[in-house]
Amino acid sequence: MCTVALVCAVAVAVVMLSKRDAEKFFRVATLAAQDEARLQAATVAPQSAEPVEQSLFSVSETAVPPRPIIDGLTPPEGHKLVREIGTAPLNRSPNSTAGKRGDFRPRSSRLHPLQGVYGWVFKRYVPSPLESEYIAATRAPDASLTALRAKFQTRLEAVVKQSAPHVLPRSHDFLSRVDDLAAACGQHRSNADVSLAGSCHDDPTVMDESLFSYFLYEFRCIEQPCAALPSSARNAIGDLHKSFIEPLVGDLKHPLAFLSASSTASHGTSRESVLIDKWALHHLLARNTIPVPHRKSHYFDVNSGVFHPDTSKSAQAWFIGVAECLCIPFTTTRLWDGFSHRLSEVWDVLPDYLHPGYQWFNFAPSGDAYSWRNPLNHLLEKVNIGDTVFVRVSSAEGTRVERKLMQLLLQRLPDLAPIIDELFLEIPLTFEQASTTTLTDKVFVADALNSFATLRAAGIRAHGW
Amino acid sequence: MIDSSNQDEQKKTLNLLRTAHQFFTTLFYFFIFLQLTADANIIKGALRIMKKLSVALLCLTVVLFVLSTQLPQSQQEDAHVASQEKTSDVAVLSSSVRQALAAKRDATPLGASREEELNEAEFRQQAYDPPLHRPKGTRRGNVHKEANRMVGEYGWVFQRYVPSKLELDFYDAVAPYARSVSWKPLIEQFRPRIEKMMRLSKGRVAPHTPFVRSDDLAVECTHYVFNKRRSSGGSANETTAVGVEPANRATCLDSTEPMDDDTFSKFEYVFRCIEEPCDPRHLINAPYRLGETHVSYIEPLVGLLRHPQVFLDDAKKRDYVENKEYMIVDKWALHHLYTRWKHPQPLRSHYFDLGASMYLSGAGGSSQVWFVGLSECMCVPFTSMRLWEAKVRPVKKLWDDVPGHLHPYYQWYNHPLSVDTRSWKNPLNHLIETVNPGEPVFMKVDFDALRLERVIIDTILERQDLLSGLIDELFFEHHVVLGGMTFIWEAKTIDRNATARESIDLFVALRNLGIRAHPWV
Repeated sequence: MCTVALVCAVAVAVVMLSKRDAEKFFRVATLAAQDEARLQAATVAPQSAEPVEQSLFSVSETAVPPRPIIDGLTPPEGHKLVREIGTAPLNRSPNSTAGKRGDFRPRSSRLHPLQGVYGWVFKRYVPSPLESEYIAATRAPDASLTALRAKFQTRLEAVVKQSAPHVLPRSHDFLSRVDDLAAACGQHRSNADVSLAGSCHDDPTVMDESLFSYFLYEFRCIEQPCAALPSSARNAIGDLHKSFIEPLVGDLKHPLAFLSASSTASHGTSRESVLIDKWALHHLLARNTIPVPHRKSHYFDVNSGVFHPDTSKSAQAWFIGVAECLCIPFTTTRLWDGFSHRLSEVWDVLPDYLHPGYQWFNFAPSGDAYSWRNPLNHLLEKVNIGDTVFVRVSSAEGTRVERKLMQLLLQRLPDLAPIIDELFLEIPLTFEQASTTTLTDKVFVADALNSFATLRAAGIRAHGW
Repeated sequence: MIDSSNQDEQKKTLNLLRTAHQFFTTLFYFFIFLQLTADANIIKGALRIMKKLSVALLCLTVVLFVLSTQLPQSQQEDAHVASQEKTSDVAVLSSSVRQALAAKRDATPLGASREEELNEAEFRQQAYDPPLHRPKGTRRGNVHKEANRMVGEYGWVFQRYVPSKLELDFYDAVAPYARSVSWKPLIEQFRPRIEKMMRLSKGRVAPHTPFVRSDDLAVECTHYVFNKRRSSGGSANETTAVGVEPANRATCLDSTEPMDDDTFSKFEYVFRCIEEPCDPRHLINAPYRLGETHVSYIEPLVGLLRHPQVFLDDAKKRDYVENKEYMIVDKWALHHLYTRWKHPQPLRSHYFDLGASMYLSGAGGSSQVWFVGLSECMCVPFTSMRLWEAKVRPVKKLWDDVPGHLHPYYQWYNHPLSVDTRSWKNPLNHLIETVNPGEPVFMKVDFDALRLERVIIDTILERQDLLSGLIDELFFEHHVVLGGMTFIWEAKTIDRNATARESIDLFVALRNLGIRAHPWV
C-alpha cells in the first residue's frame, strides 16, 4: 500500500516538475525566436534606423513611398513552418505562380475575369476644397484644436446638414424589415440600371462640391481587348459618374463630435456621418451584368466583438442591416476577436439565417504579412473581382493591429484597392504633431488624413470609424 | 431519449466526488501544515503516522481528481445526445409540415409551375426560411427565383448503381448470421473472394495514413486538370472499358489496373442533356458523344462494412478497426460529372463534417486531416469546410492545430447541430444554401447520436427534390447489430432493429441515388 502511495506521489511530483520545465523551455524558445526575428529584421534593413511606426502615416497624396521593411513580412525562424505550408497571399513574391486554393491553372492561362467586358471603372478621387484646406491647416505650425474648430465650424455644420438625408441612421431596426427589404431589393434588382429608388437608401445625386469630396467613375472597357460596344448598351464609352463621400475633416468621426467637446458622447461613435455609395455597389465594374448567383458580398470585421441585435450597440448588426438595406446582403461574414467569448454569446444571439455565412475566428487577428491570421490574407484569398466588400477595423487596446493593417493596405494598394469597396478604419488620433514620431498609441491627425486620402486616391471608399 | 434519472444519478456522483476531493485536499494540507510547524520531539510517533496519512491522502486526492474530471466528459456527451434527441422530436413534428408541403407540391404538376404559383408574400417569407423548409426558394443575396443552372447543358449524369456479384452473394449469405455472434462459416465462405478484392483494390483505395501534401501535387494537379482530363474523351473505349483513363496515370490514386466486375460494384454514368431544352450545336466540339457511358467502381458492401481485415482476421481486428484503406473515392466523377468536364477546373469544393472532433485528433483518428489530404490528392482541395462539433473544445488549440492556409476556408460550429428541417443549424440547410450545382461535396456523418444520424440520412433520402446531385462522396458509420463489432461499439449506440442486411440496404438506397456512400470507421 505504502509503495503504491509512494509511486503515486513521485509520479505527481515528476509531472509537476516536467510541466514547469516545459513551460520554462518554451518561454526561452519563444524569446529566442523573437530575438532572432528582430536580428533578422535589423540585418534585412540596416538603413531603417527609425522604428517602422515612424513612417506609417507619412504618405503623400499621390504616391505611396517605398518602404524597405514591413514589420512581420518575414516569419520568425521556426514559426510553425511545418504547418504553414501554404504561403499567405500578402507574402507571395510578385512573380509567384501560386493561385487561390484549388486554382491549378497555369499563370499564363489565368486571364483577368473581366477581360473584354465594358463597365464602370474608378477614374479618380477629387477631394473637396474644404478637405484640402483642412488637411493643410492641421499641418500649420500654429494649428490647435481650438483654432481648427473656430475656423471650420460653419462649413462642418453645413456638411452635417447636407448629408443628413443621405447617411444611414446609427440606430435603425434594419433586421426587422428584412421581408420588406427583400421585396424592395427584388424590385431594385429587376430595374438595376434604371433607378435605385424603392429601397431603403438613396444616393445623393447633387451635393455641394466645395464641401463634399467625390469619386469619379468612367464607363469603358475594363480590360482590353474589348469588342465594339453594342448599340443597345445603356451607356456610352466615356460616360462619367460622380459618387459623393464625406470629406476627410475633423478627427475622422462625426463632425459635431469634433466641433464640440460636450457633444462628444452623443456623436463620438455615431455612424451618421458616413456616406456609403450604393450606386457603386451595384454598378462598378460589371456588377449590374453579373448574374446574381455569382455575386458574393463579403464583410470583414477585425476586433468585432460579438453580435447584438441592437444596431446602436453592435457594429456587426448595423453593418448586416445596412447591407440588407443596400440590397447586397452579406453572403460571408468573417469576424476576428481576440477576447475569449462563451460560445452561447456568439451563436445564441445570432439570427439563424446568418449561420451559413458566419465565420467566427475567436483569436487575435495578426497584422503580419506572412500570417494566415491576417484578415487581409483572407481578403486576397477569398474575394473575387466583382464581389462587394466591406471591411471594418476597429482598434483593440495595446495591439496596434489596425495600424499594421493600414500599413499593409498602403503597401499593397494595387492588390487590395480593386477588391475593397467600403473601408471603415478606427485609428486613435491626436492633434499633437510629435505623436507619430514617438511610439505612442495615437497618430497625428494630418498623417492619418493623408493616409485616408491615399486610400481614396486608389479607389477605396475609406471612412473614419 | 436519455434516461433523466440516470443523469440525476451521475450529477449526484459528480458532486459527491468533488466534495470528497475538496475535503481530502484540505485535510492533506492540514497534515502538511502540522508536520511543518509541530515540534518533532514532542509528537515524534504522531508525526510518523501523519506522514503516512499524508501520502495516502495525496493518492486519494489524485484519484478523486481524475475521476471528477472524467465524469463531466461523459455527462457532456450525454447532454449533447440529449439536446440532439430533443431536436429530433422537433424533426418528427416537422415531418407533418413536410407532408403538408409535399401535398402542396403534389398538387401542382411540375416544379416550374409550382414556383410560379408562389405568391409574392410567400416568396418574401421564404427568403429567410431555411431551404429544407421551403418547397423551392431563393438564396441569401439572390432575391430572384433561382434558375436551374444546368438547364440547356450537356454533361455526365448518374444512370444506375450496379452491385457486384460478391455484394449480392454476401447479402444473401449473411441473412442467417445477421443476429449471430459467430460468423466463422461465413468468413471462410467469403475469404478467398474478399482477399482477392483486397489484392485488386491496391492502389485504388485511399491510404489510411494521412496524406502529406507535397509541392509536386500542385504540378500534378495542373497536369491532371488540364492536359489529361480534357483529352480524356478522345478515346471513348478506354473510359468505358475499364473505368480508368490515362488521365489518372500521373497523379495520386491513379492505378490503371482493371477492376473485376464480379468483385467491385459500380456506378454507371451517361453523357446526355442534363436539363432540357438543350441545343445539339453545343456538342460540336465536345469530346464526348451523346449517349456515351462511363463506369466508376466502388468497394462492395461486404463483411463488417469496414476494412476487410476486420472481417477476416479476428487477431488483427483491433489494428484495422479504424483503418480507412478500403474506400474507393472516384476521382473521375469529381472532375467530369455534370458540367465539370468542360470547366477549366472546379474552383470550389466542399467538406461537411458532422461530428468533427479536432483537426489532429478524434475518436476514430484524425479524420479531418485525412479528408483534407484526400481532397488534395483528388485535385479538388476543399475551398469550404463546415464542421460541427457538439463538445466544447479549446479554441486556442483548435486554431493552432488547423494549418494557416486552411483558415480562410474553415468554418467551425462548436455547438450541437440540429436535424430539424426548419433550423439553420441543420447542416443540410447549409448544404443547399451554399453549394452550387456541380460543385464537389464530401460529407461525413459520424457524431455518435444514433437516431439523429439516421434522421440526417433519411432527410437525404427523402428530400431529393432539393438535395439531388449535391453530395458526391458520403461517409457514414452505421451502428447496427453486427456480431464482429460488439468489441468496439457500446450497446447503447447500436440500432437493435437493424442488422448487416438493413445496413447494406441503406447504403444501396443512397448509392441508387448516385451518392457514393461509404461505410465509415
